[in-house]
Amino acid sequence: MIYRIALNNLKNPADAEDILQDVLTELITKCPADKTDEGVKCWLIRVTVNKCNGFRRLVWQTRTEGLENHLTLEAPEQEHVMEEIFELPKRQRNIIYLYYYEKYTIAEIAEILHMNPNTVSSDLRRARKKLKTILEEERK
Amino acid sequence: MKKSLYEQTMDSVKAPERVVEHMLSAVRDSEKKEKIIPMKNRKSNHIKRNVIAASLALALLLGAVFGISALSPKESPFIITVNAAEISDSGYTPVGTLNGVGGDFHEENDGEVSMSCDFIFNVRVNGKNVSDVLYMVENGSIGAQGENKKSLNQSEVISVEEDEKMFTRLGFSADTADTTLSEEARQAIRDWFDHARTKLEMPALQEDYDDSQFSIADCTSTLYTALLERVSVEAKITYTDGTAETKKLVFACDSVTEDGVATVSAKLI
Repeated sequence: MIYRIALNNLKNPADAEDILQDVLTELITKCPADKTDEGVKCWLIRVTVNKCNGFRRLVWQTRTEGLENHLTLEAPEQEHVMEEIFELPKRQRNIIYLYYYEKYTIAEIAEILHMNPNTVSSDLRRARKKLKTILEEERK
Repeated sequence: MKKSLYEQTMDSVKAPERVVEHMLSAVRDSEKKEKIIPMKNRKSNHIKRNVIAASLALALLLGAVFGISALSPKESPFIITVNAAEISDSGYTPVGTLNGVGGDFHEENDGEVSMSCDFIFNVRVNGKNVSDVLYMVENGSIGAQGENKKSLNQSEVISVEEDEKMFTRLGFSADTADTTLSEEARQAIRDWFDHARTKLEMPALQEDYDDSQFSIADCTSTLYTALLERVSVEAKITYTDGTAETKKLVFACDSVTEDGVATVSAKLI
């Protein structure tokens, strides 16, 4: 999950690996002990997104190495899917991931990302429109 | 039910085994240390290190304050400098330059374009008997760079996204800090921000920005003026006697050279 979120944010597998290591280190050293499993998961998502934001600011410009050099996907069409996902603004990528993959509700996403639920909803709508083909496979 | 293509793709995104193995190894090492060092001792060492670090930082700050105040006593209890230039409320003071129309352009929703730009500035607060300093950057965000980066628990950084606006506000408000930030984190923020870089994100300016119609200087001036007028940095100082004072910094884009180098000024409001 951490790696996927990091890749969604940074678009670069090597950077995502760095974030994964950072977040897991933080998990070992700083994760509040009183959290439930679900609480820890939300905490991890939030820390990962924040670290990705910090990472981008650190390096300023995003590294734009080709995915094919680093990321191994199971099917060729999945590379096309990743390209389409990466075309979305970062915030929408996070929302799509949390909604469609982690199965969080809009209210939960709003809480995790500290966003207004209406904003989450409108971002989700926009992202859906762009990724219609990819997301509608489920119904076939 | 068949998984969507999106889910299938995400299923296939996995961290490389070598990274996973490396992290598992780190966890095992950590567990071993837990066994060797009792929790109580480990914690007290941790606190001890923090206290030492905090004391050193405080000592450095107080040392600087003492030195500065001895040389030039101020009417105001504290002063703010940006890139070493003292900022006042009587007018704008040049604090640095922005070079060219740099930064990242992002295509956002419905074809809108937003621009983000980094402006490195070192904000420092100097004053007597300062217990704590909290910064809030409005319409900008805070990053750290280089060797001066201090550790900060990222989960305690509060990021707020404004509804239907393209920029991100990331700040450490006094209210937020009072309720959620630990003393350790607040100390880190104060040290950390001394060498910070802001990233500013702004709404689209397509109508204003068209490099086929404007010179580089025109574009630079338009963009940076729009960027900087949205940004403010607020510093809240809490003194050792419990009283607090707040000063707010705003920025402006001054002259722009033909090459697109903009001079940035700051003042207190």
